[in-house]
Amino acid sequence: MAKPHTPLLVTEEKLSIVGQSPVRKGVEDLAAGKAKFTGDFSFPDLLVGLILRSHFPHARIRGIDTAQAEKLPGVRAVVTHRDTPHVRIGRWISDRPVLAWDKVCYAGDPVAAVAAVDRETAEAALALIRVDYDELPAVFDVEEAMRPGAPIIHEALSTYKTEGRIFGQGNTLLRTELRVGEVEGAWDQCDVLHEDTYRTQVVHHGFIEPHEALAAPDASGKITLWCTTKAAFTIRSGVARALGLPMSRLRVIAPAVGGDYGGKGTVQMEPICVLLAMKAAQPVKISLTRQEELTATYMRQASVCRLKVGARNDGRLVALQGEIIYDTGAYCDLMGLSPGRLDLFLGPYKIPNVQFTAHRVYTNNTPRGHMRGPGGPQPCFAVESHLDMVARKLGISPVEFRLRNSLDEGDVMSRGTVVIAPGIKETLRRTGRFLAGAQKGPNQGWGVASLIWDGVNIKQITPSSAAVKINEDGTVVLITGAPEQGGGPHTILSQIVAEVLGVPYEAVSVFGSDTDATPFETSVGGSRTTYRVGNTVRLAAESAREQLFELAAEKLGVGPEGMTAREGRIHAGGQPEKSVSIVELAGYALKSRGSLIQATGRVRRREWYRYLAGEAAAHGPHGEVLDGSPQGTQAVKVEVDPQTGRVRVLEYFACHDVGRALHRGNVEGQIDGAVVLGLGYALSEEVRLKDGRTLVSGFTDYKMPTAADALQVKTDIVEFPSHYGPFGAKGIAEPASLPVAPAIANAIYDAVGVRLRELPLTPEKVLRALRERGSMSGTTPSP
Amino acid sequence: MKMPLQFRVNGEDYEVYVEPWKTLLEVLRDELELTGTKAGCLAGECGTCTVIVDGKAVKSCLMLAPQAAGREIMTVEGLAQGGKLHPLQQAFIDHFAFQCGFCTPGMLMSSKALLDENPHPTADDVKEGLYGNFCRCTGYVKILEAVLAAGAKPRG
Repeated sequence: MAKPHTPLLVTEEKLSIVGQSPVRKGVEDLAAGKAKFTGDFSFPDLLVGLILRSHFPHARIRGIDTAQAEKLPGVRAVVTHRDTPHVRIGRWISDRPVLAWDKVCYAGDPVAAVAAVDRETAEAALALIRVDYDELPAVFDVEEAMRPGAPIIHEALSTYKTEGRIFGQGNTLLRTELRVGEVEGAWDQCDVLHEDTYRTQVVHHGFIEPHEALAAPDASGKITLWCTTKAAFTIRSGVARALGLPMSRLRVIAPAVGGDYGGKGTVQMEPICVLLAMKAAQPVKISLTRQEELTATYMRQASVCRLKVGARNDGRLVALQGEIIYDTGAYCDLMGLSPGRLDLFLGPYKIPNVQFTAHRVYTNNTPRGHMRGPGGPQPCFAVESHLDMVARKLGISPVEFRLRNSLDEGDVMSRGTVVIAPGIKETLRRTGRFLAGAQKGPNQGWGVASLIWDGVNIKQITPSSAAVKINEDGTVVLITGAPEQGGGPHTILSQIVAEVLGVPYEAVSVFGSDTDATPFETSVGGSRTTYRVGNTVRLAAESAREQLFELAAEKLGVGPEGMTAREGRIHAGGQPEKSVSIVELAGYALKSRGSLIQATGRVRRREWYRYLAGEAAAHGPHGEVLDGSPQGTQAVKVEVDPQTGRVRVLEYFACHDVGRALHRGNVEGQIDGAVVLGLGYALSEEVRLKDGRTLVSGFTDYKMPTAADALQVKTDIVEFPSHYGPFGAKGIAEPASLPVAPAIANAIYDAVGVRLRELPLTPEKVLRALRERGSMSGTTPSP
Repeated sequence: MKMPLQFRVNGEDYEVYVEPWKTLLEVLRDELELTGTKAGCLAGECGTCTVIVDGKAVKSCLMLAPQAAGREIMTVEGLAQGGKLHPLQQAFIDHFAFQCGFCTPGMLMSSKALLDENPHPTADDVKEGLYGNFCRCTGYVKILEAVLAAGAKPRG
């Protein structure tokens, strides 16, 4: 079968800069305080924009009176739904109004906005807006929301525009079932059964830079929008649709982004900012407060997960039955729930009989969307905690149990997914070796958890393009729509360009992202930036290299066959002593071609599709191929204080298959950060709500890890190259945060013998569990 | 309503006319256009707005501008001298001590105040010194390493 192009498998090739850890692009500016983030842009006549939000979690709007606010001196614009087309927006499903027109669906729903000369005036103006509401019955418990007779949040759900198919019964937006084999008949074959229920909480991304947007109209009516986003083109199309504007009137610039973790890829308040700027005919900036961040942005969903798992005495998994219910709040931004994704939710295992259902359900809670591994951490906590108990019942070590059930090359997952180059077993073996020498003292324990995450399958070949330009002095500019959000894409993409063109890494600079100037890029994220955008950039660089070869052939009087680009020169095939510098060729191009050497690369969807479909067909009728899927195993040692219930993390081991570490320092940095982010999820963070109202307002009561929680993570990197990623790369950003919470829960069990089923694992919960166990053992006489 | 205030910032004298309720952070960013100091939470919780006032690390979102009048202020822009990065900035770069870089200005200023007071801190000293600065990207380890490395070097 024809492959689109030969994957650059690492072992064959001597690489110069890929695999090294060069100084990251842009760091000097960041260290000097010179890098420009959205909030750093300004204009002399800049206005402050503020949003009026509903206090009610569910209410009909009877009227909005803005007359008093409009009259206040210093107010330049007041907007309500009357200034917008009544269209709903959203990435996966268009369920959210820019400004509510008929009703509000959560406490925090935007109703009006003002732009004024300063913050004080804008605050005074908000207080003058009168909104008349009729409060409606509301529902906050996700399982109540699924019952007949529950208040309906989106009455017209079936008419909403969506990318996929919605289930749309009552408040249940999505219902997806993964069914393989015969679960009901399988329980008889099991020697061990285990059933339990797990709950997870709402958490926020916790980026230090809040969402900000600055919209500046020019005299012709064109608006430039700077905003905190990793997906400038998504913002452009979203704002254009929300306000009925032609895209030519919008230019979206994504400057430096102060942390993303999945939260800055979608339209938030940008349309309101643009609307205010248009109405005021003046630049407007909106900066969300921490309270708004914790109330009105798309946070990670709370969930309930029920599982029943059966296994045989030989340690083989036989059947899994269960469901997970995600509380999506009032609005759902984006989260696919394909059966193939559910397969990944259940871990890197072969389970012959599965019946697992996932639901996404609306409530009148705050909205929920993407955060580092969307949809993944919740089932990972449940499944990995659950498998730990199954292994214990069988008397098999957690690592050995996982080894017996995990994927090998060519294995088919439940739904028929074939994972290319799965490194899971190697990560388990290495974890086993690490644990072989592990010690523990009283009240200390070790916990293990594994993960598998998305790579690229047919559905995930999202649009991507990039351009490479070789200047007349031989330096190179990469022009990409991928912003630098902290994950290091500009560094890694520069390494790829330098490697392909054989130029020094320092010779490559990056421009982006600006919708008027850069080629289209969907987004950075999904742990697929290196894989997907990296491929596009590699193709652009290869195309530029072809031009170099042609020019070199003319210059050297040889054929272009077998040419190589290295150390700033193009070498003739077979006669390596014949060579010409790229600097010379770059200047020669300008003279002989009338242009710099410039080339574009784009995702080759059709060829890629053929390749993946061909591979899939080779694996049976329902096959689906997943390339670049990262996997890993983590082990953690904790100590539990039986007096206070406090859990201290003592040691951390993280072993991940990243396909190929293009930048080792960056890979380690991603793992370090992901583990500590996972610690917050596991131990302390929770956006608490009561009756739909958010009870936390900032970092004082939303408890993220501090420097005192810093952990020396021992990383161990496995490299099983992907077939199609650039230089064999897979992703790492999301995966490394998934297994943290279950690993810690499992370590707590190992330390003190209590099973905690509800995140976060606070001292109160640990203490309660210890007391309950204590009182139980008090009443049960030991034999 | 506005009042005149004088500051010395990064070795230069400034005079501004601002409302007395403006914070030092607002004056630095909006009046002096020193945007290296970041606004993260405006409630003294995140630490990214940290600057040094008369030798002490201060969260500039919690200090009113008049409280800072007449005092010596140093921001991240004042660290580099003669186009050369400060050893702390270089240590942050060498140790991969930041990813998105939004918390970095505050981290650098808290670290500088710490090292000025305690030139050779232990790991626990650094953890305590940076306790008021959140970073969500790095997990802190590489930041601690950078500060310890900068502290271990002989300082001129």
